[in-house]
Amino acid sequence: MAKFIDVLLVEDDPITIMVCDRIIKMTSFAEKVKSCENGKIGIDYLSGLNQDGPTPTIIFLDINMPVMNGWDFLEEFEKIKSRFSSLPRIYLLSSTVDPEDYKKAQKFTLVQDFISKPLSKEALQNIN
Amino acid sequence: MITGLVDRMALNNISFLTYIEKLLPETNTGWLVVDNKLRIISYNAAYNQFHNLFSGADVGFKENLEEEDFSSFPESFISALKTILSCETEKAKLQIDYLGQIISSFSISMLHISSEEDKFEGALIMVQKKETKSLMSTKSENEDFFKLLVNTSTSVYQLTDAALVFTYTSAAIENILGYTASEILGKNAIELVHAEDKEHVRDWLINIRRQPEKLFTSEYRLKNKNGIYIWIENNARNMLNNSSINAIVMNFRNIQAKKVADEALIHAEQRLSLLLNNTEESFILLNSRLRIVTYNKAAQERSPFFYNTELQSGLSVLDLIGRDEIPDYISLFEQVFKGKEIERETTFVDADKVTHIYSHTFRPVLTTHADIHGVFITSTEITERKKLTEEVAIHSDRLKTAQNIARLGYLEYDTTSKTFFCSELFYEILGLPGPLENCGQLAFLRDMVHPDDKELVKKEVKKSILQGKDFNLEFRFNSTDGNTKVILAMGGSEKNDKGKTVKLRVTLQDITDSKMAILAIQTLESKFKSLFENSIDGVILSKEEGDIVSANPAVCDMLGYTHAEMIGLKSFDLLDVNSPLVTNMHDAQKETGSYIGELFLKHNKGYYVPVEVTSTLMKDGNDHCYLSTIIRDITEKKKTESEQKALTEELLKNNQDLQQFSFITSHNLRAPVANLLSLLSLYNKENPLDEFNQLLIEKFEEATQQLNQTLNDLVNVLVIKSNTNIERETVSFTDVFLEVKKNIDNLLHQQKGVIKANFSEVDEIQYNRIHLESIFLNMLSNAIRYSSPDRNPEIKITSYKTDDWIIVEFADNGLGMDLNRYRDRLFGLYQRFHGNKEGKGLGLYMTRSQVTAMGGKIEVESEPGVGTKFKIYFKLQD
Repeated sequence: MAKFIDVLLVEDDPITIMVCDRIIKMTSFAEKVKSCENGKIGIDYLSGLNQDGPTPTIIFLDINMPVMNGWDFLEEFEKIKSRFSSLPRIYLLSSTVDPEDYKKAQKFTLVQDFISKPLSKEALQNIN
Repeated sequence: MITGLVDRMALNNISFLTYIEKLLPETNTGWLVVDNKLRIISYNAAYNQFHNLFSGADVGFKENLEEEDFSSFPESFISALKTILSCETEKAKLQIDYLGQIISSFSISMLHISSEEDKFEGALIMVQKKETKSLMSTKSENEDFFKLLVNTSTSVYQLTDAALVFTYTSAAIENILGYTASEILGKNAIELVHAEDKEHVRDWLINIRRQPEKLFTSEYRLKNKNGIYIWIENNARNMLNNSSINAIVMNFRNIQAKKVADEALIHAEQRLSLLLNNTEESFILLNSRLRIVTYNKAAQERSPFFYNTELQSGLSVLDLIGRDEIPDYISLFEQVFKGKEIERETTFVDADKVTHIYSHTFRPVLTTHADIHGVFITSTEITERKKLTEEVAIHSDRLKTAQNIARLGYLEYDTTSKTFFCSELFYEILGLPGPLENCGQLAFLRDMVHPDDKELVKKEVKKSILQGKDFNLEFRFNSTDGNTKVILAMGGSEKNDKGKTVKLRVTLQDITDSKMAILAIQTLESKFKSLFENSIDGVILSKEEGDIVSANPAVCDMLGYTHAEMIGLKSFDLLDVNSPLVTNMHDAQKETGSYIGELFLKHNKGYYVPVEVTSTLMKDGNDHCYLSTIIRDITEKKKTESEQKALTEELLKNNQDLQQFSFITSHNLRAPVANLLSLLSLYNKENPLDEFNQLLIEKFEEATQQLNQTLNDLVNVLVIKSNTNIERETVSFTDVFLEVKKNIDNLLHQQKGVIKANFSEVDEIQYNRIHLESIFLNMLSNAIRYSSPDRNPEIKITSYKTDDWIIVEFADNGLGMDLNRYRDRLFGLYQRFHGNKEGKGLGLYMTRSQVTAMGGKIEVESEPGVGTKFKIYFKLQD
């Protein structure tokens, strides 16, 4: 029995996607992992979901991505979040060391936490 | 009174010694004065007679007597003389007799005399003939002759015959006229008489001859041996009929002194009467019964007693004064008769109601015996004098007060009498203890003048006395209390009618304190002056209304004006009156009287100079307001400040860039490392043949290469960033374009793209060829990479020039971008904007780094779906 049903991974690096997908599944963190290559694709996917259908419970969000980065995604998601009956919990997943990024993250209430890459089993265990 | 006056005058005219010398020869007492060596000092005729009697010789013209001269004198005389001369006794009295044809008895007095003052010691011998007796009784007829000799108290005895020829002359004639007796014998009595007197002497002699036995006296002048006329009084008696005498007997004496006195009396009387009748002073002579004896003209008008009554000799003054005044005047006269001199003032109002004040002096009139036999009253009107005296008193009081207030000392020097008058302050100012003896005062004061000023003082005073110039001089004076004072002396001289300087008047003022203060101020002033002239800071002194009164060289230099131009300006000519800084300054000055701050001052050439000013309002001694402003040119400071600011900003920016760079690089390094770590963690070590392991290895390789690439990219970036000293060369845009085009020809061909390059306007640039090629490559490859799928790429390259820049534009018809979203990160490291493309987010970052490193910049215009235009600015080299 997995911890969560639906997890969305917004990440442009294929290796990171593969690694995350593998870990999530290995640790039975989620039954289903959906990945999007950048923020734009992520927003487009979320917008396209059936309002009554299942929505991702957890979103792992990278910051540095082409076309639409993590911050752009968060701003765009603010615009569409009213559509969701239950809002996903967003975890920033990044290698950043820039303190500005941490400050910026606090401005978004949907952001639960900042997880440093690589995503580890321990990090997943702390998410309940 | 008049006699007394004349007597005094006579006494004054003839000195006492002369008087004695004239008098003694006439006495019958013989006298001889010798010193202790018997040198003859003086003797008279009577002594000579006596001496001749005993020694048989005259004292004559001997200078010195010898002991043997006295050898025939009686023993008692000789021994007495010895004791006197040797000072054994002071006084000796003896009596000696001459026993000859005539017996004479002499009483002798000897006196030791000494005078330390004259260093004289000697003896006075006085001889008094007591009696004479003739031993020759047979010659009784001679008795009368000798009696006559004894009885006549004259000095020279003479006998003449009927023809008036001298038959005998006593030796005393030599003392009076200088002739010896023998020289006179045989001469006529009229012979030596003064020409003016001859007539009356002749008459006198004729009378004598005519009237025997009768004594006739006459005064006349006889010529002495030196040709000088001597007044004599001659008594003569005709004894021709006396058979035993048979001669005219004469004896005469010298009356020169008396005659001189008489003449003086005559002159005095003449002068007195002249005085009496012409003087303003009135005289009234009263006798002892207070009756008027005589009076002068003036007395009628200024009588102390009777103002309207006419004076008249014989009137008693008591009848002429008011009854009530009588007791007062009686007591006054009583005092006068006791010998006192009394002064009294009276006041009299005349018919015109003018008040006259008189001063009267009541003096006793003395007889020759010092008895008082009358009163002499002199009166003078003193109305004017009194008034003057009062005025003078007031004036001198005022003057004194003024002098005291002004602390002025006053010195008056009378050049005629050589006397000084000095005010009390004079001494105080000079620090002298008090009045000095007049005698030598000038020399004393001169000695106290400071040595360096002596010549000046002397010169000025001399000039004033000789030429009557006023002087005004300052000199130093060493007062007795040891201090040196600075004295201001102002003076001038007063001349009499003849133009001769009679008085020198000098005021003195102690200006030591003010002088010292001035000196201190001058020192201070010169110090400030030097500060003012040499200060690096500008200094302006302006009036409250703005007129510039003073400006130092520094400020003139700073603002490009000459000193004269500066003085003609007003302070607001230098200010930008519209500037809020100026308003601030005025407000602050009004509120606090001073201002410290920055301003801009207008230079003569029109531009503004940034300055820092410190201004203070101040008042001078006359309550005038001045604004003193110290100005410092801060152009350099401002320049440095802005340079520093720019530098700081640049540094800050660089620092931010570097920080950002480090954040980004660390992120981009961590990302592949994180992947590697994750991949490792997923590796199935227990079963190496696990199928998934194979995939992991592939990914592992991929991640490792990714890391390597990232490191290589970073190294490239760092090279560009750190290498600021890039060599420039002349590079042609055409050459560079053709070179780069070779590298992208394949790609361009695949996309069916076209590049239109136009470098006709500018083709050459001083730049680094490698950089320029890298820029062109990035620009062109981006344009092709992000071309629109809807159309074939078309790229235009154009170069042109402005004043500062050479600009190259790269315009494409590609995808375009939403710059509102991406402008911030467009040139950022590892920023990518297009999905599914091979960009690493490094190209534009590198391009911008290369451009900015050479002083240039990049601008971008873009529209999504239309295309993008990059403008690259290359800075022109100076």
